[in-house]
Amino acid sequence: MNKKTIIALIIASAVIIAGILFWKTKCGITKVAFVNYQITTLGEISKANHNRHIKLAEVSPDQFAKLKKYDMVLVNGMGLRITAEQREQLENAADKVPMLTTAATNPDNYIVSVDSLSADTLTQYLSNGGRKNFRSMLNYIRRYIDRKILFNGSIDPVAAASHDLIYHIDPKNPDDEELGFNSIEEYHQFLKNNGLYNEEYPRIILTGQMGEPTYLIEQLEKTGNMVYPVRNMKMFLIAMQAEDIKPSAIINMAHGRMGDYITQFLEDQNIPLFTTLYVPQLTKDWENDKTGMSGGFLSQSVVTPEIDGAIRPYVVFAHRHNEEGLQEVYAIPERVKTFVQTVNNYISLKHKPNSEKRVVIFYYKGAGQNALTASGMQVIPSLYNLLLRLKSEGYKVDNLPVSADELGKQIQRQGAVLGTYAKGKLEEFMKNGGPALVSKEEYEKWIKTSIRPEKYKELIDVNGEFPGDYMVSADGRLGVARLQFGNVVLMPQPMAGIGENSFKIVHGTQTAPPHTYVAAYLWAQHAFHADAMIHFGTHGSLEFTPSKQVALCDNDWADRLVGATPHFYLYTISNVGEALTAKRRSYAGIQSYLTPPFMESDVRGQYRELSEAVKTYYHALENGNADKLKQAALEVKKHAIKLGIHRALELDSNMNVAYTEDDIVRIDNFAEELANEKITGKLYTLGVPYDSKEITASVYAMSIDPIAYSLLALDKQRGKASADMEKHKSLFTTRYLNPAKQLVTKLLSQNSMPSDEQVCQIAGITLEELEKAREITESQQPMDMMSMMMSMAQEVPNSGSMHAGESSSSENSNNSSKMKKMMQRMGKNMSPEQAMKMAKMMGASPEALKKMEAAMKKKNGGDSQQVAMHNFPESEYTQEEIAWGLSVTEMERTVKNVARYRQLLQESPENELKSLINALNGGYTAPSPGGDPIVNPNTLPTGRNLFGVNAENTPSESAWEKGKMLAEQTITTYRKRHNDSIPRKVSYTLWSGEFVETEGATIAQVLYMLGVEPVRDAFGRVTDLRLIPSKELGRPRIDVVVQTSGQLRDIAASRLFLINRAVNMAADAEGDQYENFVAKGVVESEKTLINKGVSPKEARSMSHYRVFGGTNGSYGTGIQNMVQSGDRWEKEQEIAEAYLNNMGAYYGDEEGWESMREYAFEAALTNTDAVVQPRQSNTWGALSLDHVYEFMGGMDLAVRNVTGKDPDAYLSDYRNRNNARMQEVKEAIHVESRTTLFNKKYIAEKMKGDASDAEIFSELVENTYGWNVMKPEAVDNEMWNDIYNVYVKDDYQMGMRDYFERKNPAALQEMTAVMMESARKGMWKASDQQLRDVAQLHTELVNKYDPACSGAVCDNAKLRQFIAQHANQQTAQEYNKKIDNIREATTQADKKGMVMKKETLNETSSKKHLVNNMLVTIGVLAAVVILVVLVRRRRKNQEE
Amino acid sequence: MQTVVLVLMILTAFNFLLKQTFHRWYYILAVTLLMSLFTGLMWPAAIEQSKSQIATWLENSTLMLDTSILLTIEVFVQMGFCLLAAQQLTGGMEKKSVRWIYRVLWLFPGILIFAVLFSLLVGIIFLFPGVSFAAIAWSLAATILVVIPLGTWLLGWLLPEQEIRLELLFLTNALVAVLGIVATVNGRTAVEGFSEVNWPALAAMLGLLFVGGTAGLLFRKHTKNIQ
Repeated sequence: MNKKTIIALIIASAVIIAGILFWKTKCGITKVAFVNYQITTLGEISKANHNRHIKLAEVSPDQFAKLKKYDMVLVNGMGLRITAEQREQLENAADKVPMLTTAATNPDNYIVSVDSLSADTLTQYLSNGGRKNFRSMLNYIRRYIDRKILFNGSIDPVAAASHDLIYHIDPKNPDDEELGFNSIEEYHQFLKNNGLYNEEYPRIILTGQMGEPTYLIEQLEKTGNMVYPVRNMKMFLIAMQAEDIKPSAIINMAHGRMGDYITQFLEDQNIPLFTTLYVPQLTKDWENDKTGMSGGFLSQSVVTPEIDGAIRPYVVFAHRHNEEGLQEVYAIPERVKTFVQTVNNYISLKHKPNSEKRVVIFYYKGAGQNALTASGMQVIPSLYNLLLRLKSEGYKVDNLPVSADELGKQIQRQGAVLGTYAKGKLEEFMKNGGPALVSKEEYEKWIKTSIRPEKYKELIDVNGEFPGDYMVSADGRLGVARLQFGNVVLMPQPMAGIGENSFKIVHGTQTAPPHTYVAAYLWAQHAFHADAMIHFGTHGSLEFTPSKQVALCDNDWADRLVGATPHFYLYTISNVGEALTAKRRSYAGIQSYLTPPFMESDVRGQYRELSEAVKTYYHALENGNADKLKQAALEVKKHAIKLGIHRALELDSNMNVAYTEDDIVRIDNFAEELANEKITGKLYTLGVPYDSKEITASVYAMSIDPIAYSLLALDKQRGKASADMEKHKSLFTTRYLNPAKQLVTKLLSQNSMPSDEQVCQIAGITLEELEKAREITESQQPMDMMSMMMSMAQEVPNSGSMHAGESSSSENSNNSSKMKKMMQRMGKNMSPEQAMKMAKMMGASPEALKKMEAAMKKKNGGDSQQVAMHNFPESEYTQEEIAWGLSVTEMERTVKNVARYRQLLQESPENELKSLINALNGGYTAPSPGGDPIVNPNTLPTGRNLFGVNAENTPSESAWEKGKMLAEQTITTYRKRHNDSIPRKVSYTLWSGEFVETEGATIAQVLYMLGVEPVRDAFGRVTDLRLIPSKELGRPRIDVVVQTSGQLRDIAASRLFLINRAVNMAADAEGDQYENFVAKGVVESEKTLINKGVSPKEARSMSHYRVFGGTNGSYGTGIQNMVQSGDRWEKEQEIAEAYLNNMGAYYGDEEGWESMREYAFEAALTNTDAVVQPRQSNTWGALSLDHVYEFMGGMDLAVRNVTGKDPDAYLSDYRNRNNARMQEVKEAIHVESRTTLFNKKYIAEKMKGDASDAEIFSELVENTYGWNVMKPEAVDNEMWNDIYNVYVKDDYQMGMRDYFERKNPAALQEMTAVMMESARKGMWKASDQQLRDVAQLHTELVNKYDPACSGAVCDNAKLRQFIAQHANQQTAQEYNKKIDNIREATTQADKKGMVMKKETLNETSSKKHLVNNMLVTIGVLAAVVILVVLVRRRRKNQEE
Repeated sequence: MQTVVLVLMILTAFNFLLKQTFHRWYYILAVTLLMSLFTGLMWPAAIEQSKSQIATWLENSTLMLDTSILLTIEVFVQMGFCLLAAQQLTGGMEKKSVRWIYRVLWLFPGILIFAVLFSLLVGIIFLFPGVSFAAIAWSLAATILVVIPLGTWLLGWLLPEQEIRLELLFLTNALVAVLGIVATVNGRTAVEGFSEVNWPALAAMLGLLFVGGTAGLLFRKHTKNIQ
């Protein structure tokens, strides 16, 4: 090759390279990246893009590293949630690629690297929206930012946004942009022109932006509705007098709250608000997604719309691939069909005469003769009252029994639920119970309509071919139990699982429900043609059927079994956590009902002598006489021992040694707590107000504590009370509680509301101070800024654009003050330019903007925060001022509401019935927060639809303070009990109710234990965490394990991820001054896992796992039935194994969500020193709610089996919002048993009730047994003796046996069976006489009333034998015969627990091997060395 | 079973060191580097092993049988080296091909040592939870960098005579062979029970004994003839 050729080649190459470069830089493709843009907006932009040389791409935060490949990056700052690292990546990318962030709601995310002219132009295109503007924007980017010279499209001037309030696709040109209308007349004309107008049609307003509504509108119109698709709901209401339309319903394609205005409108119009959901996933991915929806998207799509009173969060929109392979939003046809049918069904309730409406009511009932149950409610009388009300409202309710008692009897005959073991009874029921009989043909026809083939296959795989072997008639038809009264049908909720896993009946099943379960709901839909479905009382099992947690699909049983039927659920006000599950997982419109009335325990009299002795002791203490002091202390001891208080407080009973001052303070507090404990009266009956005494007692319970604690707080600030005053309970009672009670009594007798002057007099403040306190409190009101922003963004001037966020300030006048405050918070650390942009974005008026600009000039571009302050003045308050302000307003609120509380309690029962009837008429049910009225008086009046909290904002600031305090208390209590040592690891159980009501205080406890604190963004959302420096923490970081209930997992997945992050941060903390138990705990877990046979790689990743919950998305632990079935386990280790396996699914991050990793839970629990369980309701305690022993007891037992040491067990007691505290579980059980099970007043109150009240006693005894199994030290022999004395020997002479025989003999059968089982298992060391008495009573009841036939009574062979052995021969014979008759073909007493099979590597033997192998190694090495030495010596010898 | 395998591993390591004494320093350095690098780089695989998995392997008689084949090959190779080295010492190696074979066998560091090092790495990782896997592996690699030359030197110092070392190598290899059989048979009889006689295994063992014995006799005869 010669020189010339080489030169030519070089030149040619250079020309080609230059050409390529030129093409690439001046003519090539322009790649535009979009970050955090809604798919709907992106879809619009994509549709607008006609230029093949412009390519669009969506980039998620985890792909920020790739941003440098693009020619322009557009970031939607609204709601952008990125980590500090991702922000840094974004900033780095902005240095190289032009970037524009719009609508930044977090100033830190305001990243712009294009010139101001381009930024303004692009922002205008974006904010005005519309395809024309979007097209010009893209062409602008190509020409002026990417600087391409060829293939540039036209750039038109910014077209002002259309302010059309109503939009509609032009039916003649469906591919064109939507048509806009600004008057009802204009729109009606359009409808008329297109044949869509009909005066008779129901009118539906459709609003919101999260979806592609065209198909939905089309289907609504096709099914006979007139649809009003509205862009800006608030403007629509203001400008068009929408009430004149007389809409029948509103559908909101929701993202965030609409606002208080909408609840007012809905109430005025009395119409329901539906929520459609959009899942930002491909349909298939969503269907396979176990969570359905979580995090901020869940909050904005489901949680906050619920605050508006929205119902039926139903997925209608998802993604699909379009022709170009890009994802686009679409309406899923089959979902639209069901949704439209649902809306039409609700609307038809408005028009259909009551006499024609068909209503199905499901109730929940235990097996056999057990009573109907619903939390806090007497079910039969309540049900009867509802039926009466329906009749009076014109519903066709025929052949109604003459009384509630008669109805109860009829239900036991025709509406029974029977265990599979009661084969004889089942046969009899099928013959005489009159169930609806369903043939195979009918059933399969319904299945074809409602259930997908793959789901039906799942059903058959689990239950066999139709009809299975349960509830089958002789001719092979399936029985559906029901009682029909004209057009109203009562149905027992069938067991959601039969056979081996019968526990899962209540709380979730892992597989398909049985044929009877499915058949019952399909019968209601397809045979009975129900117009509405009601679930009666808290709670049933439908909402716990598999499988998705929220945003259900066609593969979820609840979605299919409810179908398109309007659904209402009577739910106790005190269980908002589970109510949310019912709302979201079974599309129920909640109708809240009252708790039982509250009253004082009235046990003070029993402790009078003790109180006197304590007083004498305090007196001696003040006088300082040592002898008298000792004498007084011994006197206290004598009484404490006599009353058994030493057992509860774990104090000694040696009368030679006096108690210390600390001990006596504890005794005093314990007795005082018993005296002040609130108990519940007889269960509530729907529609029946409490009697006047009960109302007064309940008002006392609601008012005294807030007043007393507020006054104490004020006194503390004035230096009039010591800092630990509330710790000396008797003193607190004398100085604060008693005067507060007198005050409430006075207020109740006063006819008018107390004046401000009166409030000032009570609080000892001036009117100015009262005003200031109000101001301070107002400034502390939390607000969901994100939701508000999304709501504002929703009101966009044009389709497809959510960037603007601009809405005129006049529109948002209600929000203005809050917005100002937000401006101040967001103004921090902002440049003046940023502040101006932000102010503009927030809707500041032009005048305000001018003022801001002027101020900034004045300050010479100074601190924008000061500028913000100038425009939006705010005074900062000190912590003391805030505490003072809150105390004053708490006191004021309570004092002024005393009379109102009474009125609300009186009116609530009627309100509940009215509300339910109104809902059955297609009306609106107003939203309400949850919690019992003591915890949250705002829950009154009842008869409302419950909502929760936005998980993203938790733990709230107050919850953080509360959580910190309780974590400190946990440590202090532990230290006291363990020679000043600090717990290494604390295991927490998290429940949804406590989470909602405390706004995440337990999560705060967990975080603070780890030494990690929440970091809030400008909207108050907790999006990040920060390590608390070791010095500031002042103690070691303490490791945690979190066990989540299924309900909490469903509503707050993002908080579980937060905890997981906190664990990782704490474990990685460096340079701590104190020990780091988290880091140590992680290493210990890794070691355990390796020894269990997990590979080091897996062990390392699993060693950080600290968040666990039910396997397969279940809701229960799966051990409750096992515990109660005492014949199915011998050692507690078996229960521990079941617990560890059933609760060992990991829920700490999205990737590993619900993954079941063997040994992970066990490893996490190593070194656990304490377990903690929240308690937030006054309606239940450790003893009265079975789930407490199931979860907390299960955790305690598991820890004991893992570590070999019984951990401390504490309850986080949030019941008194003014005095949250930690309490040892044994103490709590003693308090509860003394104020309920063994409290004459409590027993007498419950005896006033019906069968459901009687059932409470058997539940208490069952749970005592449960605790005895789970934590033997918490229940002592004396407790069983007391149960025997009160309920068998009738020591209180209250006629116990007679009462149970009249009201509920099954309950006493159950109680005596459980007592015998406790004795059989050696937990109760009963005397022979005691055993004979209990066995005799049990067998006589069985013989007289037939077996009950719960599991304890009929399905425990060993127990039955034990009982028969202790009863007299004749009674025993009859008893055996009765049981045999019920069981007929006795099932074998095999293992029915649900221990999942697991592979076990014996750790002990592994260690043994290790020792042996080490010995062998040493031995072999020694042998080799000896051998070598010998050889060497021989050689030497030879040499010599 | 674990014990037998452990003894086998110790013997393999000893044999490896012993064989290094027949080499010059640069070869030892190269082999040491190779072993060190292997140890340092194998941690991603080592952390995937688990105690339960290893226990399962050890209980898997089929797998142990397969492993024993590898073990037998290694033993034969090393024994072959011993025989040829003895021949070389006595100057009786005339054929070029035999010389080549001897050279290859001489250079061959062994395969089992890799398994031993890997197992050692796995064992040490098991012992140090919470410590960086890479740090453990490279620390072990650094230790190996010292231990192999040091061990080789120590053995050379203790046993300066090549013949004795050769004899020792042959004998320990024979021991490895026997233990290998034990491991295999043990693994299988543990599963099948003691009431049955594993005829193929017994035959294999007797065959090996016969071959070994004959080889020993021949070697002895051959040495005597030389003398």
